[in-house]
Amino acid sequence: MSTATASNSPSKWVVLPHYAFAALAFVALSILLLFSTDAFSGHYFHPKLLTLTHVAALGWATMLIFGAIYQLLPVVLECKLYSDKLATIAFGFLGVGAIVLAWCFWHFELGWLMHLAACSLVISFILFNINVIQTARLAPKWTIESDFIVTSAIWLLVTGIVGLIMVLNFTMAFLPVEHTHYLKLHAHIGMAGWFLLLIIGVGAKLIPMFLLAHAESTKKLNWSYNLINAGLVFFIFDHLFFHTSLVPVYAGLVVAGVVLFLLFIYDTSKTRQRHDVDLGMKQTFVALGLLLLPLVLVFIVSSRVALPQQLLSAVYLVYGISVFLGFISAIILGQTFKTLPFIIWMHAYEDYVGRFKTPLPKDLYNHTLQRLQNYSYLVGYALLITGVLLRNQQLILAGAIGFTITSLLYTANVFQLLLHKVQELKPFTYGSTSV
Amino acid sequence: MNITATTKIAALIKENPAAIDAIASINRHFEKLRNPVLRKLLASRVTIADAARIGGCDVETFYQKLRPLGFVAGAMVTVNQTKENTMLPPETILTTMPTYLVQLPASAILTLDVREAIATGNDPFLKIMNAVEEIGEGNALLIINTFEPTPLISILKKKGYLFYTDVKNTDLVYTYFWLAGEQDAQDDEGRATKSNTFEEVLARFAGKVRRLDVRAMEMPQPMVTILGELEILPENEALYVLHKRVPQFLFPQLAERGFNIAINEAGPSEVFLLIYR
Repeated sequence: MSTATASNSPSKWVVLPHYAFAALAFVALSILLLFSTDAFSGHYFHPKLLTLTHVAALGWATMLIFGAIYQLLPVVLECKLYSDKLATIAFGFLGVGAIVLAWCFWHFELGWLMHLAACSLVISFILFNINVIQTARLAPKWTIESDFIVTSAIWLLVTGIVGLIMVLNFTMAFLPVEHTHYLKLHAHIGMAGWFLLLIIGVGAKLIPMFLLAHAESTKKLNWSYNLINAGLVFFIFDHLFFHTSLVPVYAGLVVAGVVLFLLFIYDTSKTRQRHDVDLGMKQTFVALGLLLLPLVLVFIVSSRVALPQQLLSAVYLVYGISVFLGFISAIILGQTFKTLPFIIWMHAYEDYVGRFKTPLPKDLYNHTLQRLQNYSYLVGYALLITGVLLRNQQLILAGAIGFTITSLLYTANVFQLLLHKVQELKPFTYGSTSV
Repeated sequence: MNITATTKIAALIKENPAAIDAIASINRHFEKLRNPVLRKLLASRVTIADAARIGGCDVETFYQKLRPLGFVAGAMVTVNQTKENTMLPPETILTTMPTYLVQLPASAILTLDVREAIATGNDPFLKIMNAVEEIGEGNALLIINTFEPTPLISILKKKGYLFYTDVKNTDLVYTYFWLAGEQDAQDDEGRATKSNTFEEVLARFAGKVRRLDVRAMEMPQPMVTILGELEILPENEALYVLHKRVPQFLFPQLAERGFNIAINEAGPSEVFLLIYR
């Protein structure tokens, strides 16, 4: 790599391990799902469900986002990543933390091992924050997308710290209110603060770019940022100190913020110059559509509507699934194939461009597998949701099989990319060098 | 695999890693290829011809060592074809220090010692390029290194810098770079553009500009198209590119290939680039 070092791009050894780990975690998640069909009939505080959630949130989503951010941050901020080394260390702590935490939840071992896992994760989040914030300080250019990304990193650390406190509380029981009270806090800071803000920040930059569109104004994004953060902060204070019945209002602020983001995407997409939409972008639009389900459900979850207990439990479960296995997983399944091929291509071919006939990023992976992956995902997701609502274990199992197929197709494609070897290149006839 | 004098060392190693040992056995100059850090740094920037110069041997010696590994050394046809395009024509090797350097006071020589950076595996390319920006009227840049920085010399030569290499001993090489003086008006003109605005550069290339619109292209097609066009751009012409954004990934490739760029950010998604030598 002669010039990757001279550009703002981090080393591929920083970025690519995240993609490899995330793909394998997605396979692990699907297999665990196969063995958890019995867990969806009751309350969400269930060892298997806690395992699934944390494998999805940490091993799969957060891991992939870390890798993508290290690649993307220098592009958004137009400066070099503060430290490759910190990124690698954060990867180690996140990987170990996610695996150990998953093991602890599955076996419901709440002792010192879980403390260790939680500490490892918080260390990883601190290192990630240092890296993101120090990089942002070097940035010559500041945009609203940067606000989203930096703020989301801080919320991730808050989520981790709340999680650590809850883990300590398992053995020491020092918190004044029951455990699920803090679980709601932990979950919502993670979902809205970390995942939602981050995906909006990154999406607002990437989606217009891939559509070859441009934003006329970032006003809607500014308001989206303000509304989501305001809703979240109000929710946290209310939840901790006041316990009013205004929670649906705070949820409304967050939902309004998301709607503004979707409108922003809609506005920019009207200026697009690219009208054929590839599989990666199709899947991304599917993900944005799937985002509507949790936006509706959040009002049921946050207001104290009188639903039969059984139905309410199922709604809670569907709410969680619609965030992690719905929106977040769907957008990763799409965006992986818009980012990873380019990263691999860049590292393999940048020195040869113009001098040799190089393949293109889209030539480096299998589109048939990707199409099947998109279908099996949608089918699996629909079956799983239906199965949970109807409390039908066969349907849940069918959904889990759909996810397993999806994860295997995805992983096959990701590893085909990761293991790509530079092909023998043919020089152009006018070439000034002839290798 | 067919090889010629312009084949990159990295390509040899990629084809057959045994090439490392074969080349290292030529003489002790190439022992550094065994060091993975130096290898990563140099192999992709150095051609066989460059390496022969660094090691003080001829290209044929390389062919002899590489033939047993299954490499086919340059047929006559390719030699003819590449002759005019060779990146590095044989340098005029000066044995005495040029008068320009002799008359410079010590304080006018900016010194950059890259030995430690290279030993610790940090690519000093960016640092050097920043230091090069400091070169102006009446000063010079001194790079202290363990070998002759052939790839750097070829890049800076294209940008109109003069150089002088002083081999102190086998592990210590002083390389000086400075700007061409009055006698070389064309190079001087080339350098002067550095501080010029987009409009001035555009005016200078009036009538000699090729236009390229990459706004409707998906990544990485803009980069592929631009670099492809630059390969066939005549020496004294410029490429005018209409782009949607400032192309971050293009800059290092332009620097590596000895091109300058002037940027005009007309709007949030309207950027004009002027690329020239």
